[in-house]
Amino acid sequence: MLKKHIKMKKILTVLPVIGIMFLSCTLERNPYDQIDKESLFENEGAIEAATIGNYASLKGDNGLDGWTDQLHRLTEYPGDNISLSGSTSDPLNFIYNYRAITTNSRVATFWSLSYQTVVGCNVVIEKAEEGVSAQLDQLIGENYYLRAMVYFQMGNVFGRPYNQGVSNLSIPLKLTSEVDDVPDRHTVGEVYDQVISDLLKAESLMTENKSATFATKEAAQALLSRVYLYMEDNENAEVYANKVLASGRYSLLDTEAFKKMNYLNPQASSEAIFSITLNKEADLPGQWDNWYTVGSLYASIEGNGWGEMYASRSYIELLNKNEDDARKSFIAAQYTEDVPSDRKPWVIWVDNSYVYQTRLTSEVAGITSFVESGVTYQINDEVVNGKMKHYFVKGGVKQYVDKDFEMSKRNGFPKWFILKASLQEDEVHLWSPAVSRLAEMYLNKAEAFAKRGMDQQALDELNVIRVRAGIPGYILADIPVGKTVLDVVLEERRLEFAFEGQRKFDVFRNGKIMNRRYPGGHLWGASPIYEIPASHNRVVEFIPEKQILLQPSLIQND
Amino acid sequence: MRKLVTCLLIIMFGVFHAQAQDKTVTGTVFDEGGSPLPNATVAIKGTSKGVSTNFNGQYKIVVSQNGILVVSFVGYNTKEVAVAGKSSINITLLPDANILDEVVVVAYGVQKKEAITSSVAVIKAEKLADITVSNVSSMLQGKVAGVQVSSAGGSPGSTPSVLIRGMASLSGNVLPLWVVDGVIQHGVPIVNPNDVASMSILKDASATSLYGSRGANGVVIITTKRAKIGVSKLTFSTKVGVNEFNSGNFEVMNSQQLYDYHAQMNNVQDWYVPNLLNRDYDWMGGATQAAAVREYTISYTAATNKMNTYISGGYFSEEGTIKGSDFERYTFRMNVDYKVNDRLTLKPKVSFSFDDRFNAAHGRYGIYTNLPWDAPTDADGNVIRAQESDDWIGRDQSNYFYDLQWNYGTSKTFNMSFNGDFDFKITDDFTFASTNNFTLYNSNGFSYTDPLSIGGEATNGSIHNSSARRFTRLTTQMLRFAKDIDEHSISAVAGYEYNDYEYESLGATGNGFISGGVILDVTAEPASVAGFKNEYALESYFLSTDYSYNNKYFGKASIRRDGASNFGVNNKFATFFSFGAGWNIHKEDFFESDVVNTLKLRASYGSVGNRPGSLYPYQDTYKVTDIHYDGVPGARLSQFGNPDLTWEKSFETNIAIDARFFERFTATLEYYTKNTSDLLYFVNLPDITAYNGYWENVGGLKNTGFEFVLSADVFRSADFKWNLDFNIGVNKNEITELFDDRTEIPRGSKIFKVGEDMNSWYMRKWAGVNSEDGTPQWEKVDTTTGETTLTGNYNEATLQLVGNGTPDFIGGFSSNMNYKGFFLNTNFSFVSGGEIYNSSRSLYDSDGLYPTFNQQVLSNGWSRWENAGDIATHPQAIYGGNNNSNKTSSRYLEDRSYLRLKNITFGYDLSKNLLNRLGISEAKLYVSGDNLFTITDYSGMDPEVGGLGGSTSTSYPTPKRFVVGINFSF
Repeated sequence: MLKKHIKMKKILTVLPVIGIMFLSCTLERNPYDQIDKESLFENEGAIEAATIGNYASLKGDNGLDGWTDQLHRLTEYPGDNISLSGSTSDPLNFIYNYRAITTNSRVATFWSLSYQTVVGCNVVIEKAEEGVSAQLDQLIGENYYLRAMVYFQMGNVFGRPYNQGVSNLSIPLKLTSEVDDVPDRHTVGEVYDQVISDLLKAESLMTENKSATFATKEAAQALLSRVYLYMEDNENAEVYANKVLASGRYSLLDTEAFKKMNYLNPQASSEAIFSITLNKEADLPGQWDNWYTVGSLYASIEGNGWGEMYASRSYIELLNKNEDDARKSFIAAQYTEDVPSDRKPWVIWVDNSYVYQTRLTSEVAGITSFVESGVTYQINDEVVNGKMKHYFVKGGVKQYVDKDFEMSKRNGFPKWFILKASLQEDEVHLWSPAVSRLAEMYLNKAEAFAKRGMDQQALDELNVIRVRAGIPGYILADIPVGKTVLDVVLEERRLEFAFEGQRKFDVFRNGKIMNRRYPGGHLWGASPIYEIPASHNRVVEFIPEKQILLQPSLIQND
Repeated sequence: MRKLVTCLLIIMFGVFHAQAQDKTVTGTVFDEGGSPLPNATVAIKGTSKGVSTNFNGQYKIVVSQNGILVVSFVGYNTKEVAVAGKSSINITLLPDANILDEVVVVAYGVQKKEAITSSVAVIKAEKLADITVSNVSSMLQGKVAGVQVSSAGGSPGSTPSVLIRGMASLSGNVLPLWVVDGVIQHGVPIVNPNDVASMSILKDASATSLYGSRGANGVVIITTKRAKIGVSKLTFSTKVGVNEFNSGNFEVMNSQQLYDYHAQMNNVQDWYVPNLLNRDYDWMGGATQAAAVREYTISYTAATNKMNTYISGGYFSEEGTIKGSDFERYTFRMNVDYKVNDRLTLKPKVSFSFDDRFNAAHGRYGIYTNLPWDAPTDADGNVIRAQESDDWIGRDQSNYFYDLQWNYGTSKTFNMSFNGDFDFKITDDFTFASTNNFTLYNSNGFSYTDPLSIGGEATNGSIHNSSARRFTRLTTQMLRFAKDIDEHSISAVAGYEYNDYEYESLGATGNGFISGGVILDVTAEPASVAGFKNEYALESYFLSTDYSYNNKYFGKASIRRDGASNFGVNNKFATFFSFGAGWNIHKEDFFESDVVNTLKLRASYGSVGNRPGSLYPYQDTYKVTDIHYDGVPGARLSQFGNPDLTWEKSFETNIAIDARFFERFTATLEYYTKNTSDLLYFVNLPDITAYNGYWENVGGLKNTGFEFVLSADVFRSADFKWNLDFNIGVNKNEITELFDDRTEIPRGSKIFKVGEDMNSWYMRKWAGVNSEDGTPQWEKVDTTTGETTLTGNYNEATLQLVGNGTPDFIGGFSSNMNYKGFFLNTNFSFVSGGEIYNSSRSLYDSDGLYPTFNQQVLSNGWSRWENAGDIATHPQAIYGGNNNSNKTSSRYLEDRSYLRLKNITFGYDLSKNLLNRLGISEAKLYVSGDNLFTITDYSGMDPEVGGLGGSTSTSYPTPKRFVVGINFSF
């Protein structure tokens, strides 16, 4: 009996030991991919880290699907510089063809990232103290700037142009970081007031001469110039443009450098005022990342990219007005032969159904012609208004054509690749979208002058841009019949800022009609839309349906 | 002195008695199959004397001439044989047909089937291993009432999801817990199906309550094989077969069909010429193949009084029916029960599996979307580079064959589990049981992109290596108590359990290398690095007691307290409990029936919990991964935390009747209702707050249902046996409460609505085709009057409740026939009701929106509008699309019902006499077919690949399979 007792004791003592062996444990575990908010703001570098986080929201994680990506689709695709060679399952299709849906995921992402950035700025503005140091003030100013920029663009996308009424609904302005603060839609006027107030505050706080990768005082001034222009406060548009020009920090790239502007990192461009910068090493690291950028839809480079959206016919015709227009360098026609001497000549025109027609031509004894259904059509030349034009006659009717060389097509659309959003530092589709660059200051001034009837001053500003683009400047006498100086200024703005996300707003804020009478997937399908007047409902996007379901007091656009 | 005399007298008396009447009797005890039964007990009735049979089933006993021998063995009917002067008596024992005497594996122990008061379904190995797959989940399909198995696809090595009694959480985990030999698994374990002795499916809260916060969705317990006492057996089994691609009702067009379709659309493109009819490439045919599947398992079992050993090794290989995916798995398992002495038994176990996958699979998307007018190779047999071809019509300009010339990926996974278990018998009544497990999971992935391929062009080739490691520890220390006092029987188990988990992963990509290099060192440029880690831990205490009186009345109660790392400090621990009672009515004196053999009533009630999938939901955080600007690291608002977050709680009532009739039919009818509250719900915040939302305990869900199981021995003669099994489960899921007292919360194309199934679809309701102009129509409901009109404007159509993704009922039936050694087994599985959203139809059935994608051939009963007045199911096909007809709406919601012949096996069990001469104890030859035949209206490829929630895209269908197999043992 005693022996048994001792044995039991031994075992009973061993058991807890076994148990304790595994009891090294508490139940506390912390994440490795996130930082607890309180711990973050105990750090000295917290304000800078949070500010970087705001820039990163705009750029997108690893340079993909960020705010700037969605903004570009929302602002460039409704314009008339681009043409989609068909249709796509990507929701950008509905932004492009004005057949907007309330469930567009790109619009929803844009809305969501906008507020994520704005609230991130609000946190910094709430937590940081002004007047402590120039460095800290600079950071606070940058946050005011970013907030203003985001609200300005959101207002442009979801709210009607300023001159259509300041009491029209725009976007909700959230100015705190409180989760319970869920405001309803403010008016267009209120949004503009807030944007201007934030930009003026930013202008006063920022004193450091940072590179174009970060916001600076001049960036705030440049954006203010545009904001005032959109409001038709032409005096202030001119004043702020002049402030930027007078700072002496920037100069226009010369013609040859300008032709390769897309290759430059913003920090290497004398003209860039503020661009949301993608970094060659850190961004687009994944093997397939190049396929999901803005540039990938415009061009296929080194096998990377969809190359489905091309320069529109109307834009090409505009470029062709001057043979040496430097902006042609951003378009790459995809000829079937690489070597120019091997290329096959053809003629190209757009028929009455807005479909491209092309015919390969042959030249015999100086006469160019093509054969169709057994009939030979000769290409004739004539001079109209000092320009050489070509045409052939069919059924007694003159059909004007352009002479060019055979190009690859997709769904019948010749491929005019757009390179402006690609090739930064020779990386396929790396691109740092410009928010403000110096050329805009000249064009803002030109428009501000033109609208006040100061035609000659307008042309002076305009011609700076034209000369830089390698084409002759205008004199008053040259303005074509039926066009005003303002028309000419807007046309130049279109040429200069194509593919930079300004065209849609430039057309509608000036009360013009968006003319989509050119070949493209927007004319496919039932009920195509050929023209969009400035009063059209779809000049503004729908607020994402899910957000209205979550916040029922939000009123949807018509 | 007096003692001594009494002893002598007794001995003399005994001896005298024996000398006068005793004789020595010998013989052999056999089982019903004629095999000798070692360790059977041969006792003398009325005495406590007895012997055990030896390895050959032989015994020798001294008994009086008119004594009676009582022969018994566990699981067999005890037989009494009169000696009647004989000196050689052979006895054959028959298995105990009373199923209620079986022993069943339950939570943290075993229990006699007749004593079970909760809902436990058991499947034995023979019923499991009919289909040929590498995982055990697939084998449950159609075999257990209330268990739905949803395939992830037919690619080799893919594992389906198992759902028990419907979904019990809105956004938390809905999948059951898996336990293998007493060890709780992280996720679904890899177990060689041939190693499985039985699977217990614990369905109701009182059965799973002992698993506390992890038991809310049911538990599947796998018990691996042990040897039978005295029998030493070497078993070899092999299956060799062929998989065939089965695209069901789905078919894409060939050249002629597509040409005619484009004619309908009035295609005016310059590439649309009659010449196209000369081009007809079958992409689906070119990408699929008859694929080989092979399985070999060898196992050895041996058991003595001291040691019980089971060792097995297996090899499984399967090629994909879509070319380019290969899968191989090696498994090993060793279970040893070593009886050191009467008190201590050591039970070490080791198992590992090694998976080797190769992937250069043909792109599923391209197989169906590429046009028959585009072919992957040109006339000379060179692979075409689609983007550079002027002739390529398909819209994606993508020929996946090009990159497949060089690019591929591999993955190798090694999983090892080691158990150091032991039992220590402290006294007759108390036993200490300890389960201690370490599991190491290690996975390595590799992907190769050649510089010559399109994917590798920009980077000059790319190599990616990744590795992931999971380390899990579990220890359960239990004290068991069991005592019988007269007719009272009481048992209990108390325990402490600790479980933790750590996961770490690493990945790196290098760019720029010379074709053929496979290690990162050969790359010129480091492209990216990735690293991640997370962990969790749980700690628990539990106590369970069982009581039975006279094997007639049963009661059970249990309680468990769980703590987990992924809850805030305020709510780290919670308690779960259960009660159950059972009554063997057939044992009552008042119960007399010739028809009903056993009748048992049982009822139970219990609570279980569910942890959220998110590991750190209670903290306010900033995200720091991938946040950088111009190379400078930053942080961004990420999660809005909730420090009060607590467990989801489920309370379940289960009532059932088990009965046996006519000694032939066994049936169980079960009713349950499970109420889940404090649902872990991710409350969406408006984006304006900068947060997506936060975790909250809010809302309630109810799952109510019936289950019915019937098993019938239709024939049971010596030569012919025929057994039929049937099971059906009906589950109704209903949301009872939502966040903030709301009646509905929409979420994309689904909605949570009080009173409705949680998987309810919420989308625009398709109203057919306008017969006048062939345009699409949807319903528009006036919010004030409730009046329904039709509209052709997609944006104006109203979002409505249009059905749900959950089946109305599921089940299966099987038939097992045996005639003189020939056997024929079939197993059917069926699902009825529920709607799947076939999202791939927006690409393949787009009415012209994607004219340069191939389209699906119109299924039976479908028609396309062509002229005014036509009544058709499909709108007019217009080049460029017809008014958003292919956008999300109930048009693509389809009935997911199906009846499928899961398996049919025909074979022959070689006769024992023949085999004994060869020294083989068992041999079986068979041919078997899986998934041969399906009845369904679903227009996609496979209604089984529908996801638990009912949403599917371009899927990898389950293949048809033809297999030949041999099993034999020595």
